[in-house]
Amino acid sequence: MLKRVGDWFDERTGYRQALEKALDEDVLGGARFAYVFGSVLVFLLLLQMTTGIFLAMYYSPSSSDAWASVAFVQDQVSAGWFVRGLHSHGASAMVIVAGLHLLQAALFGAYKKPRELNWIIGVLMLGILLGFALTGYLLPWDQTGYWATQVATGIAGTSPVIGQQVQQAMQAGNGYGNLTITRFFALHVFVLPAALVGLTFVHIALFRKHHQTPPWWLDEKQLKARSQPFWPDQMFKDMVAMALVFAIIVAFNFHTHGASLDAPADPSTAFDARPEWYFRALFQGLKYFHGIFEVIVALGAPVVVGGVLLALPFVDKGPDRSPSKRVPYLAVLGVGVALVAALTLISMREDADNPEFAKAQAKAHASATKARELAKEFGVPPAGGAAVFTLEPGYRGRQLFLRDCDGCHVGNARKGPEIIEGYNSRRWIADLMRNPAAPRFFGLTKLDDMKPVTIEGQDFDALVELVYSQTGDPLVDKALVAKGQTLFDEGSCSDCHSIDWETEGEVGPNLGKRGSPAMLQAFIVQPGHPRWFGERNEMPANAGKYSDDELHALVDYLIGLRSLSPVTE
Amino acid sequence: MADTKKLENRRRFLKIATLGMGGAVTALMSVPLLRFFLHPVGRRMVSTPEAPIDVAGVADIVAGAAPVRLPIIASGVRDAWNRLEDVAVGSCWLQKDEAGTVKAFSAVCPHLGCSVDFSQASNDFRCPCHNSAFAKDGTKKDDGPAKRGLDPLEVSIVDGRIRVRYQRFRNDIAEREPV
Ligand code: FES
Repeated sequence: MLKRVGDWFDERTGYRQALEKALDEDVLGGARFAYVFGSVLVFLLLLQMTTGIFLAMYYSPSSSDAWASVAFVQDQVSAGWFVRGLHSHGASAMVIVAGLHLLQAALFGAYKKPRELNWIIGVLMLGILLGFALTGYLLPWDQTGYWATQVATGIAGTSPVIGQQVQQAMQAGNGYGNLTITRFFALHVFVLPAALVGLTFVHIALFRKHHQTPPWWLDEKQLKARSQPFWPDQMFKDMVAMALVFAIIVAFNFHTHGASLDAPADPSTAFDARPEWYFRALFQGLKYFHGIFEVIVALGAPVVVGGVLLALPFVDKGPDRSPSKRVPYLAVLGVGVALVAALTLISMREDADNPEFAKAQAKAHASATKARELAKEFGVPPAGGAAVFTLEPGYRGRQLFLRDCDGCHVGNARKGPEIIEGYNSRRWIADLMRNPAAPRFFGLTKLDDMKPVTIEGQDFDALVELVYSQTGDPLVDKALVAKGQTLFDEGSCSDCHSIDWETEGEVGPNLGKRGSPAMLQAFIVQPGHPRWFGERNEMPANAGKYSDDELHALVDYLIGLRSLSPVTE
Repeated sequence: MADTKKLENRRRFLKIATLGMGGAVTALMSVPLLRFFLHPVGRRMVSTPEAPIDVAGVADIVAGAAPVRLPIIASGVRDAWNRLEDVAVGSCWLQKDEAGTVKAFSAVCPHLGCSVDFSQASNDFRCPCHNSAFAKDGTKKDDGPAKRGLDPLEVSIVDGRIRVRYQRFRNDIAEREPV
């Protein structure tokens, strides 16, 4: 049956003969693992095209949607992280294997007559690969991609005379936005693939015309004698290499759980971005140059590297392919490779030894995790990826706090008690009672005349529990609260304070409902109410300033602080 | 002779091993790709709001007049990765009879999902796509390919405001099956 179907097609297409012709090729000197790199690259190209097409089913190239759609793929779509990870790690694999392919070709002297043109095409393809990396890095529109690509287009902008025009052509206009992403997307999925696939066909066609560059150490007769057919001898080795590379990528993908995705691009933040690892050498190299030299190196280095590679077949023209006869040329390549490797390693080392960078990374990681959790739970507002943070419960309250309260209650320019994580917790209350005049508490105000509470042991705990219970937290020790109430009434606390909400005009504030939502709302509106600080109040009143919603949000934020552990630095 | 035989066996093995490895890689790859591709099947990629949605005041609708089309504007709608506020998810035809009872029909044609119009001339609902016709009370008229009448939507009245619970139903079947 299968054969009949095959026959039908063969009669009409002649595919069998074509296949035979494609596979029937003698490999002079025998099949070798040294020859597998080209085939592995074809395999990786197919892998990239497949995963890329599938990713395009979910990806939305716009500055407001890109991050959200990638986060959707990464965290919600079945196998999304896996497919995206393969695409990202597959790209890295392509760069590595392309590098090995180039070194193998150089070692075997494959750039020599008559294969010069194919060498040149190969170098161009390597350039296209880097183009893929550059354009692809921006597409998730996350912090790393956004800021690293800014550097790349910034470098283009420094090129002489036409710099501005080049930069604007690359980023499509005066700044990053929708057009930047549609442009990068079109390059990444249409232009570059078409160019790469086209050149791949030419590359393979020329390869078939001139055949494998045989080992230099065998003479004509030995080559003939040891020759093996491409199918299956070489193809088997190729397939082993492909399967191995595939296995490594898959294993690595599981190890990293796919490619990283940072928080959504936010032009208003500072971000310490790093380029893809294969641009690390250039990134590091640039650190050693400043001013005009930086421009020269940034633009010159790629030109020099490309120029050397392209010029190689025309400089080293002798027919002898033995490496011992080509020491100077191979040495240039070797030094180049060593330099790139060294710069890359130094760059990684510098980051590893830099505690500031580690801190920034930890912060970036936390923000990415938060953004992705919010995106998964609530979805992303159409305003764009960064707007996802506005969905965080407590966001509004925090914004209001930052706007109106932060100045006096947080940081070094404080004028009142510090309001940070842990505010109104038992610990906070205890610390306040022990040292009310500390700068953390009322030390910066004129209300610093309360005497520290000197009671020890369980009695002290009971007083703390009593004050804490005013917040309305149901998880309090009732017995302890009752004991605290007795101590409060009988001891010296009640000389200055009441704890009933009603009494007004005492020396110290009424502690009734202290830290509860109702009290905080009322207090924010009128801190100078006779129930609290009365005449001695220093905090501005906010009557009429907030809507009910805003007041709720602000108070929710303050209450949320209670259960957070204080930041101790 | 024995050598050729051995060589032949070796090549046979290589061919099978090569095809086997290639097949294995392809098979391994197709599992995640298929799961990825089919992810949206059977899942809610665009959410429809569960809660009834305010469309108009009872007093705004003239009793006994021709049906009016009102948009259903929902909040908190999930569309794949997006969360949308105040988006039109569809529309309904509202009418109030002399007794004050409010009825709502989905404007989605039960045939293939075009948007149904109300014709003043013939005093019935008409679908512009394949000419299905529905009486004012939503029942299916004889002409046209629709297999059931217009889909009624649940109406509730709270504080003088009309709320409609928006739903979509599978099209082109006689029964009413929510999707
Ligand atoms: S869709 Fe309405 S008649 Fe076909």
